[in-house]
Amino acid sequence: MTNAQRLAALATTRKQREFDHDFLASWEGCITWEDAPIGQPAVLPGEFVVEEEDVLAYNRALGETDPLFIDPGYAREHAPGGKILVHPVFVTAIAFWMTRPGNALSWIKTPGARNPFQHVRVRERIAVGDRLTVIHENSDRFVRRGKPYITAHIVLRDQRGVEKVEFWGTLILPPARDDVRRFATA
Amino acid sequence: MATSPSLPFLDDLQTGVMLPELTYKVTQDLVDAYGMASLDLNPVHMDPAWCERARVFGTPLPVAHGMMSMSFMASAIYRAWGALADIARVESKFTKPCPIGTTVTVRAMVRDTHPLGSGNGYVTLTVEAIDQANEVIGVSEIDVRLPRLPGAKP
Repeated sequence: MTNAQRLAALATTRKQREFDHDFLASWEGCITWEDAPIGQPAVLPGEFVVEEEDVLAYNRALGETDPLFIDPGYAREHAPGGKILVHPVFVTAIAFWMTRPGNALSWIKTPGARNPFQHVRVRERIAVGDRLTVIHENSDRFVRRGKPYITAHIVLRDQRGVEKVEFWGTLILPPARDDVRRFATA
Repeated sequence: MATSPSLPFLDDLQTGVMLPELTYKVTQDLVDAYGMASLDLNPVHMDPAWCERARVFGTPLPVAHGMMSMSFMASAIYRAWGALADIARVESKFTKPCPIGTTVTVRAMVRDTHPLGSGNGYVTLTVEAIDQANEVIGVSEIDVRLPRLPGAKP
């Protein structure tokens, strides 16, 4: 069994089943640090519809214990809006779902990348049922202690046009395509 | 039946107070579950055989997602104050890789309170995630909007 097959067997939600389980298959579609466009905010194609099963999977993976996170029946009675509540770092799933090979955010799937720091600002909590539009730009690219860093600035707007979350995601990338290839083919 | 913990009032919080610790063991099952839920299937987390060959962090073992550590640092607040805690900001830095087998303890401390008017008060917590060697793997600053005591001075 390949690792991708192993991961496919773990999928429990529609998005997880439809997602490409072979992370390395699309490595050539990852934009590199030196080629990533900086600035140029743009709406990523499509939208992220927040399904209850997506949120449950996230909350359960973290072992959350509050029934407002993990029990839809309890949440119907007691949660604002009657739906289970969303964890602020759920934005990770949104970023990965919206990333496509070749787009300006594709570097988040770079083999060999490292995660140094992250910043999420929640204006209004994301809710089950939200249809989120993702506005993205690469806001910075810098070298620190000889390592190449890149930062994405992501804004999530709901179906009313309300800005709900701002997210600055930073990674240290392998410096050039040959370095990425070395990890992708390891 | 489990119930949701009660939110504290901002005015009742003292700076320097520690929240109850949250401890978890980093297993491949946990990392797999988090990876699937977050759709971050990077082999550095999800593929033990690849990790042995690539050794991105120098270790042959898969390492936990930084975003998972960040999530657990926020979760320490939810475990103490419940899911209604209105987290407004999470800013995290990851200082040490966290390979499979690590036991992580999350410690959150009320650093300062911001009793602003018009219901805009919030608290800032400093949160550390520490491994079994007592070394810091991640630190966060987290802001949580909290209600004021009825009748509190605006």
